[in-house]
Amino acid sequence: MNEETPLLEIKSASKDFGGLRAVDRVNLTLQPGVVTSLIGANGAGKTTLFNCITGQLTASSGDIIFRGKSITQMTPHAISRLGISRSFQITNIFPQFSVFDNIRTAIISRIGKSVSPFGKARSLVADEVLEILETVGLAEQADSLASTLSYGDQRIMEVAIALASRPQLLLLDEPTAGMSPEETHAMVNLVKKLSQKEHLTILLVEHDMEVIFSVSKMIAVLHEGRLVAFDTPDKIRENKDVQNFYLGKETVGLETSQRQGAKSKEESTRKQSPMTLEVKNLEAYYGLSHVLFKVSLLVHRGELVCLLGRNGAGKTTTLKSIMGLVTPRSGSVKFKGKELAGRQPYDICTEGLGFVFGDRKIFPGLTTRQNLEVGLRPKAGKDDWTLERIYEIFPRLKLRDKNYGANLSGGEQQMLAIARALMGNPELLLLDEPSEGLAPLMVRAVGEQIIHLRDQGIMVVLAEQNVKFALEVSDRGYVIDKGKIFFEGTAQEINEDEEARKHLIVAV
Amino acid sequence: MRQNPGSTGFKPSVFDSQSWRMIVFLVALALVLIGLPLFVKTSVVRLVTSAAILALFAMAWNLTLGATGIFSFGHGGLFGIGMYTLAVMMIKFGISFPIAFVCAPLIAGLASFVIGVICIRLTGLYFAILTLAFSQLIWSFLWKARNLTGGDDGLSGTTSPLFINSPNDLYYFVIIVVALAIFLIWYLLRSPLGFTLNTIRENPTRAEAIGLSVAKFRILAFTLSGFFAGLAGALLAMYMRGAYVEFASVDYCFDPVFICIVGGIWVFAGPIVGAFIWLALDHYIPMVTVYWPLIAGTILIVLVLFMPMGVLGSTLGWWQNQRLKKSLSLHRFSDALSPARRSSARHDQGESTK
Repeated sequence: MNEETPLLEIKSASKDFGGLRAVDRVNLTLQPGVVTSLIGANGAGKTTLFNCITGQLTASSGDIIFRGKSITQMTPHAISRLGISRSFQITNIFPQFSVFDNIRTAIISRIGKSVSPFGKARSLVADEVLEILETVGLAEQADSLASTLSYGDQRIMEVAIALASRPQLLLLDEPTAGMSPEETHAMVNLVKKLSQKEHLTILLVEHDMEVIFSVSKMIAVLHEGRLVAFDTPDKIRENKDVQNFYLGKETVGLETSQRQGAKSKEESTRKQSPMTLEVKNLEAYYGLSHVLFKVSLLVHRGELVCLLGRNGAGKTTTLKSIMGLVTPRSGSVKFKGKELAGRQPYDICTEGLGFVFGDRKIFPGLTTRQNLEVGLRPKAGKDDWTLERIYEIFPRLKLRDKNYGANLSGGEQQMLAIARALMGNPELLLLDEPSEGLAPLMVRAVGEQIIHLRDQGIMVVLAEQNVKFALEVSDRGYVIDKGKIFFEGTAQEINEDEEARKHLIVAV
Repeated sequence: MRQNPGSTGFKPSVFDSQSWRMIVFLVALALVLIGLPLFVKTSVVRLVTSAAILALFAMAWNLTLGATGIFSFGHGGLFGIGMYTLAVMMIKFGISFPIAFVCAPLIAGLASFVIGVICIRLTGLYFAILTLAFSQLIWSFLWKARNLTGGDDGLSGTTSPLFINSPNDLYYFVIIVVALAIFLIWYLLRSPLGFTLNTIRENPTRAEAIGLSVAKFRILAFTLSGFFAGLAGALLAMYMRGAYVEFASVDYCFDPVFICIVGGIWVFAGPIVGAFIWLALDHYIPMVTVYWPLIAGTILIVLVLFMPMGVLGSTLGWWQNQRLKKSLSLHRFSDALSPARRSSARHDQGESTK
């Protein structure tokens, strides 16, 4: 195949989920032997596009052509047979097989022996397995149980499984997510090796800019489902549009800073108040991967604090650790002087904490009203939240009173998720990416509501990837990257600080 | 442990050094089985005969959950089809025993293929419920089609072939057929096909992504499973000298499940051990006390609580310090019953943050 014939052509592919258009008329052409990175904010449609290529999802419209053949309507296994292999965003291996067998089963599938009832599977294709394991550097662990490998090795093994199909196109979905710097380094070397020695065409989704710039020849940028740029790394680096999609510093208004000026007068009184959330040296793990490193936060009464970071930086984990949804290994979480770390979520909830999930977790089979009633947790004597009060600030929800949760739009679901948390009369609201998957107009509406809540005296911690949105609504912010807090300051300070921006920006 | 379908494939050399032990064990077992009728009462011989049939039935069922990770509640019907095929062909149509005996598993296999093709569109618990519904359909057909099946009276009077004249002859015949069938299942499970079925059990999404048509392999596993269940049904028809509708009932949908849980789902011989324990409880406890369901129930609860991998699985686990643990056992169980395929649902929602 010469350089001019594209290996993969995506022609105006779209993917709709109900009302949400996750991928919007994307045109993308991959030349053989080229490593291309796909970047974009969370929810930009990168994984959706991946899943459309490999058949886990079927594109709503448009065409995907691989080596001159349309694969748009094909099933994942048929696409795999044509020569497209992939790794998944969340490690997807055969955990109870040995490393050897993980690769062996993929080879047996490729050579078409999977249906053979004759002979002994465990004596087949040993040489080829070893060859692949040597390529990726896992030969020594061949006999280990896959689930006992380190997290980084598991992800490398998943690449090896993909390689066992002898693909022409390899798709890697966030291959370095959750990895330590050493593991990341190993993965980067592997990708480079595959590209240089095997001349493999690779398409990868990544958030780590160092990785992207060190391996890619081309970079494609997705924004809200649309392909906004497709160019060489150098050109992408200079592209102003691309920068703005991630930081958007030009739109942080004056209004915000004025409001902060007024707030700062109250600051001294707040500091003595016991109504604080104090997180100290929080450490958390997901299985083998260490995700939080000594995270400390301080939130005062009536404050709206945001936790900024890229995808996978540890924002959600921090919130979940506060709420008890993730049990921290060490460190303390104190709210109004009471220790929360180590307690169960339902118990922590009674202390006045409300949690709004990033994926909203609306009860799809309950109506809007029922969803709200489920969240009701009255606090006798105080001015409680009632359905009437909720409907007053979310008039939109009143209109959808009798609709089922499943039929609400993304924005309505987000409002409902916040409203449901309010029904529990929280003193502290933890919001995980409330702007995710929302249209710009909705983002503004949600933002106004959050500020409104803050003004009513509720403490809010906002985890956001959408820096522009977060800085507009917050009083103060923390910047988190790779599980560590790197910067703390007002919205303005974060916006002006080079160091802070470095940890947030995807394309500088 | 070389027969263990859930084994993780440790160094091949370990298998080789153990294989002579396995041969010694199998030879000893064969001698015991051959010599058994010489030393025990006929009632015990008959008990062992029925336990062997039940073991094959459970073994057949375990091709679905144990090997492939799909949960079937519909094996009572398939078992019944095997049983009735033999009885109907011999009694109603006067077909000779060898032909009827060969047809029984084939027709059960065909039925399970059809059921599999229809049910496989759903996964997890939905698949299980759908198979149960099919099984009930078969049961009610057998119940209602009086002219063909004798309805609730059943069909009695299958003649035994000439070489079977006594319970001991039947015992030897059943043991040989069951041993051959179990050997066949073992052979299948160690073949690339069996290995592929295990692959699908471990992670269907990943299996799909390495080019395996998960649905087709699941149908194949279900069909094979139905074939062997039908064979067990045919053997029971010989043992009972007829076919009775209770053996296609919902009881026989649950029995193989419990037998496998008791014996061990993730070890090859688990269902065999389970079948013998099951029948022993059923046979001997009533002799001691009238409260036998209470005792049997208590024993089952204790077994499941303290031997979550089954009697054989947990014993081997303690003995060999195996790495197959309780949590894993439960994971595989819940994966097989989970309505959504593990990670595909997650991808449908687009990207999720860590």
